[in-house]
Amino acid sequence: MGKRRNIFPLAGRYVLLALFFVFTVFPFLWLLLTSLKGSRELYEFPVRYLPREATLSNYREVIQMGDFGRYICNSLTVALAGACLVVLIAGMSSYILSRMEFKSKPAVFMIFMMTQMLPSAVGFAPLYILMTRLGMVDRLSTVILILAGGQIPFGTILLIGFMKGIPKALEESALLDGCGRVKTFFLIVMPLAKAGLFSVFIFVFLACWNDVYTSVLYINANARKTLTVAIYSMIGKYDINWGNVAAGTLIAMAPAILLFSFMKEIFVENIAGAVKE
Amino acid sequence: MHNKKIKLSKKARDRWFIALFLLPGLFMILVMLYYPAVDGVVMAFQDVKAYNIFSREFNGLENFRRLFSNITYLGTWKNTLVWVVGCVALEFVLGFGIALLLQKPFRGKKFYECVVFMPWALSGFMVGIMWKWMFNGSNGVINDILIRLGIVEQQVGFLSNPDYALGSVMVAKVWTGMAFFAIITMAALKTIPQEMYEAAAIDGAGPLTKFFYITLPSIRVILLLMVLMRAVQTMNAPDLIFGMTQGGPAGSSHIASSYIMTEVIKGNDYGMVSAAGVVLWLVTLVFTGIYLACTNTLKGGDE
Repeated sequence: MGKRRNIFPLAGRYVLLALFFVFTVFPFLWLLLTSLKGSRELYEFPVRYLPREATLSNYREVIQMGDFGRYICNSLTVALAGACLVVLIAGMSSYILSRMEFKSKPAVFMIFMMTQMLPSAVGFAPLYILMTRLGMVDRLSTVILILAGGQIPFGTILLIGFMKGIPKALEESALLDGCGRVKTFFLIVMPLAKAGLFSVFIFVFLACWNDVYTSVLYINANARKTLTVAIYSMIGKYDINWGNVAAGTLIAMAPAILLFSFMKEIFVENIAGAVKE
Repeated sequence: MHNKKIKLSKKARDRWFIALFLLPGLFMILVMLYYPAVDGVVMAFQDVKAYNIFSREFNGLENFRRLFSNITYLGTWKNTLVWVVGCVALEFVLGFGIALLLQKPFRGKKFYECVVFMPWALSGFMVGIMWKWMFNGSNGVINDILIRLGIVEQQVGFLSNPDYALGSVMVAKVWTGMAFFAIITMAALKTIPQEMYEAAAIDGAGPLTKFFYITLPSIRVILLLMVLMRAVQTMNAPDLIFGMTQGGPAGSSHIASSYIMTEVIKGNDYGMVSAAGVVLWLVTLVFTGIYLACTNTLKGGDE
């Protein structure tokens, strides 16, 4: 390692590292400071960097405003249900596609792969019209189904790799012992694939939690708003209360920040995976 | 019941098992992804208005004709070009720089990576809101910093001035996207065999020579492919713009995909929006095609 070429002299390297660090951290810090400021200090110019007296009043206001607890619950419901659904369905289809041989396999495989080529922007209006006709607009379950549907191909393709890595011997002995296919899958295969299932769960959870398009399009009723939709209506007002918005945004970002802090490797591997192909 | 089950041959049982396990996935994909895409392409040639979704009549190329005489829409393509080229180029340069800086171990490197790569995991919408406040034209912190540094004399309306809005949105996008290229470059650098550097060192090559004769040539193919892939992603990433400016003022920060997104949410002319979606799809397909062609020829030729 020590022999690696070094085109940045030492001091310059640390200065650049520090610059990137400040560039990344500052927006987070600024959001946090904003959320702690009282309404008068918020709009002072020249800007006061540290609040004279930090207050949690923005958090209190946001939580009391509307149904904030409900919004958080709704967001969690969507993210958890979406992730579970994708893990289960993608787990099943990836198992079939990696283990079983059947005539239409290439065609099924193509159906999964070709989703990457589909126009995401074309489908929104037709899907909305379909859901209107079915009377499924303004329901959390609709948002969950749409988001899960969008993530199933990704989950399946990612899991095929994991499923191929599982030794066949265990399943085969279970099958010989008279354990049915379905039972074998849930009792033997799924536990063995847990590393892959876990990554898929985390990615889909975040994708659903971070979704704007589907939830803003489909949700109207206050009782069914997710955090994103609630914040969307906060910034839609003419007179935005930035202290409240900052507090709400930080709360909405918290899961992503926590997941990334504890599971950075999963994310890095997922991105870096493209290099190996 | 039990007897009947046993009578089924192993092959037949396997077939049932395959169908049972594939159907949920196939059903979801066909309903949520294929059906809307196909119907959307049809709708692009129909007159479909949000106030009466049950009436659909074919109107030929009328949607496309009106789309291409819409000045705001045409402007979104100019913006898309600036947005894709600008964001990808800056993300690439900054991410590449970070990756090189992270080649040597230092104390707290794990923590540093965790912080600097963090924006990648965030929702584009939330990031947009975060930067919307920083770029605020009357009491935003960026204005404050620029005034304190003496770069500008008084507040700049970054998001209210059509000349600056797109640039401001791009800064926020680069903030989230540079982690992508940093991670990609770090992974690519790991694939270069150390012996090449050792051999070069014996031959007396300096750091710059090694960089230009070993590092760059070894990873340039993979980086080129990643740039293409990222261009496709960036073209189809409207969330951040939606959170930050919603395309305003006067459509000056709209890219094609964010224009479609806001129009669908507003819900006026579904036919025209679908036509806009078809155009975006064709452009995306061209880029994807180039990416795939490059993957085949470059990878085949290099290795």
